Amino acid sequence: MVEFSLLLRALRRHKIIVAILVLEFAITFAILSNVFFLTAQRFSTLYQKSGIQEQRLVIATLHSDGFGALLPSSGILDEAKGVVAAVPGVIGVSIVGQTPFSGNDMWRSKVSRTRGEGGATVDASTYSGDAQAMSVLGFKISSGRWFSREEFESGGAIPELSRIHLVLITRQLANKIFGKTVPLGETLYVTGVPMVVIGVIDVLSRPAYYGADKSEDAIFLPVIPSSAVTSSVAVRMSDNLRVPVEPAVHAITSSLQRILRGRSYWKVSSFQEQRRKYFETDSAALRVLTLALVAISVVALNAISASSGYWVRQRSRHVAIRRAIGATRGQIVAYFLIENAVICMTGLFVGASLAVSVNLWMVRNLGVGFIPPSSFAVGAALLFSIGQAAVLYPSLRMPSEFGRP
Amino acid sequence: MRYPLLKLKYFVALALRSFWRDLFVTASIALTLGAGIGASMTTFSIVHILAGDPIPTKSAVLFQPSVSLDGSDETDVQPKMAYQDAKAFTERSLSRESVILAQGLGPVETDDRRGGQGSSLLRFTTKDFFRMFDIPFASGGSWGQKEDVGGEHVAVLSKETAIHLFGSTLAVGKAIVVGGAVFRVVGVMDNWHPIPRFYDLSIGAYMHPEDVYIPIRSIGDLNSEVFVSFNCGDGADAGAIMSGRFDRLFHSECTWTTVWVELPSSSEKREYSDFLAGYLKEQRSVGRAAPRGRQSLRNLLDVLAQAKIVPGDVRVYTVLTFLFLALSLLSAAGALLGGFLQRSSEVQIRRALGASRSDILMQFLVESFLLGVVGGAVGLLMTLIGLSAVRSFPSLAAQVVRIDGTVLGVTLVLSLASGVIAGLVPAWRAARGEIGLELKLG
Repeated sequence: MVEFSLLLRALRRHKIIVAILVLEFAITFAILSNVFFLTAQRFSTLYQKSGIQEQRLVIATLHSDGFGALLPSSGILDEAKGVVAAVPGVIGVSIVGQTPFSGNDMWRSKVSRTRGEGGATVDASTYSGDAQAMSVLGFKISSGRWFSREEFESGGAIPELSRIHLVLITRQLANKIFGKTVPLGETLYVTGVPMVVIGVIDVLSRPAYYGADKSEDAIFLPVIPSSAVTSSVAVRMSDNLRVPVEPAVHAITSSLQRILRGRSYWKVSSFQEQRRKYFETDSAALRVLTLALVAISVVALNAISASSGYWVRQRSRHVAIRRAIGATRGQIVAYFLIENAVICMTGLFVGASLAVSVNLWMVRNLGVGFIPPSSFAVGAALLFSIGQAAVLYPSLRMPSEFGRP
Repeated sequence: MRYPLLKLKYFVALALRSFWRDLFVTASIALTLGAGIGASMTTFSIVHILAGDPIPTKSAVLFQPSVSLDGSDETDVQPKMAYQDAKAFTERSLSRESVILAQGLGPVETDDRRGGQGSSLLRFTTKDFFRMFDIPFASGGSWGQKEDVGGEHVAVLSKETAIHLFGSTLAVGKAIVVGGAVFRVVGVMDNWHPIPRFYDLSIGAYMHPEDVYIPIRSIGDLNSEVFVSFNCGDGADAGAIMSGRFDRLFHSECTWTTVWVELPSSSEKREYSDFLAGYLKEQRSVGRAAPRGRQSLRNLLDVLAQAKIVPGDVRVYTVLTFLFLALSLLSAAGALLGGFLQRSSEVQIRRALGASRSDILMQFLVESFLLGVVGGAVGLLMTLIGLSAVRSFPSLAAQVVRIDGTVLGVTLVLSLASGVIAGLVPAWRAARGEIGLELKLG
């Protein structure tokens, strides 16, 4: 290909502008692929499934100032349950140990397939609740069954695990511990205590988020919580959309304030509010990242199109000469597009090594994951099209015959 | 060079004229540089504040001794120890200042129970705390040796707490109730918020300091409304302490205290670490410490470095924004190259009329330098906007971010340098051309 060697020779003769263009492509690529990756990661965090019916669910939690002697007695939970059930629009009330995205991952257990130290143990958030917990929270059981009423134990101050024989496990955790087999009837050791798996919960997120691969490491024990301060009262509102949730939250709050003890107070909010609060930092970070993505794209687009466009225009005299000796418009345009593609590819190659080293540094120092190839692909495609567009327009406007443009 | 000032004035005039002629290009270059400077300075000032030296006059001489008797791997950056170890460590430092710290939480009220605040942060400490960490007082001052030894009921309040409880900082002599015991206020601190909160990072490096400070020995008189953070291997001790029998803290192996000592010279530092090594040996011989037991003496800045307190996100963004700065410099260089080469006929005419190559080079450098100055001003504005956006972040670290002299200085240097860096290669390329060729063709 005569034209291609000509092209390379031309590139060698204009080292400065070519170097600037290559570096522009490279740095833009390194930044874009990393920012794109971080944005995608935040996005998936923010839209993490909880596994429960998030709409029309209200969570009430008792808080307390001071410690020890002033803790309200556990009877307050049953009392609260009765009071809340009387609020209009409430169709179900349940006492649960913890709730997804509350930020308070209080009860966690080491679970494993074998009793000893040998097998792999997984740190699992431990949910507990009364018989209504599944219907009120609204999570789904994909195989097996929910506990029957007589299988529930009441907690005591610290629940005694040895009295508990049955357990539910999330699908994600089941895959980790039992592999592909459906683990119904299998034995799961919960901090050394053997329990029989009687059901698999389809999806149930933990009270706190630890990254996608650990987001659902959770088990459910048939224990009715009795520690008033750490537990919550979950309230399911009727699906009648004419009864809005917000007034119900107020009604529940005021009914609960009537049964206060000591220095305690109730915090009541809709589940959606709880979720929004938990991910507040992530959504703020997502806004910043999105803004950064737009800003970087604008500056980079401007830089690359200015440099490429300028360099095409600068050679109008050469184009005119080549047109005069028989080159077609199509050939001229193709020449510039191919030239830009060569520069862009070189830049992407340099940029990929830069992007990977930035990413490796982050992996080593900051616990960020590896960039998936898809992030690279998006960045590369974006830059390639920006580069081509930047030369296409000026090269189409090149003079058609020798003379002044 | 003859008449350097006159030439400089001429170059500036030429630069301004060319800016004016191509206002759009000039503005876009300045904006690009400004965006790069603004983004990188925003993250730089965040890191600079979050990882800054909280007490520059003293950070070199403040040390944290600690001991792990069983040699277990500590997860805590500032490992806690039993009271008897802390006591031995502070008594050893003799004439030098030393302080014992412990952390708690509990309700605080005025003695007539009219004013109060729920969960207040409590600091149990010794008298040197205030002098050692250069804490300013609005009124009154620290307690003394006598109060420390006797565990007397005296308290120092933070400025906010004094205003919240008594309406003003003039609260010395008033009484407050903490954990069922009445304390006499002896001092009210002025504003004090070290960033990071180096003396105790355990509840967050950017948390505000405590609301109430009382002598550590007085803790035995408090009731179970107060929560003290501690760790006990022995269940009976833990149970007793949880139910409010805090005197057990002083006579058990429960870990709950940390120590700071001031060691102004390297010989004192050496002496002190010899003492620590000897102490551990002694504890091994009486069977208190395991053979794997460890001791350490770390400088304040080392403690902070090991704590990795700057959020990971911030460091990621910092790397990316400095790459972005590089991109904006390149982009400006590309635009300047185009601009300078387009003016090659102007260059040829000036060369033909007697301007030397270095004159041309200088002229273009002056031009890009001025662009950098404008870019720097834009960048400073963007940094201010960026930081106010950061402060709206819902995290403690974000609230403490601000701009300071160092950041201003770096921005200034960066903006002066950026224009020259971006303009250097284009100016050299533009000044290089031969006379004549362009004149003929043009």
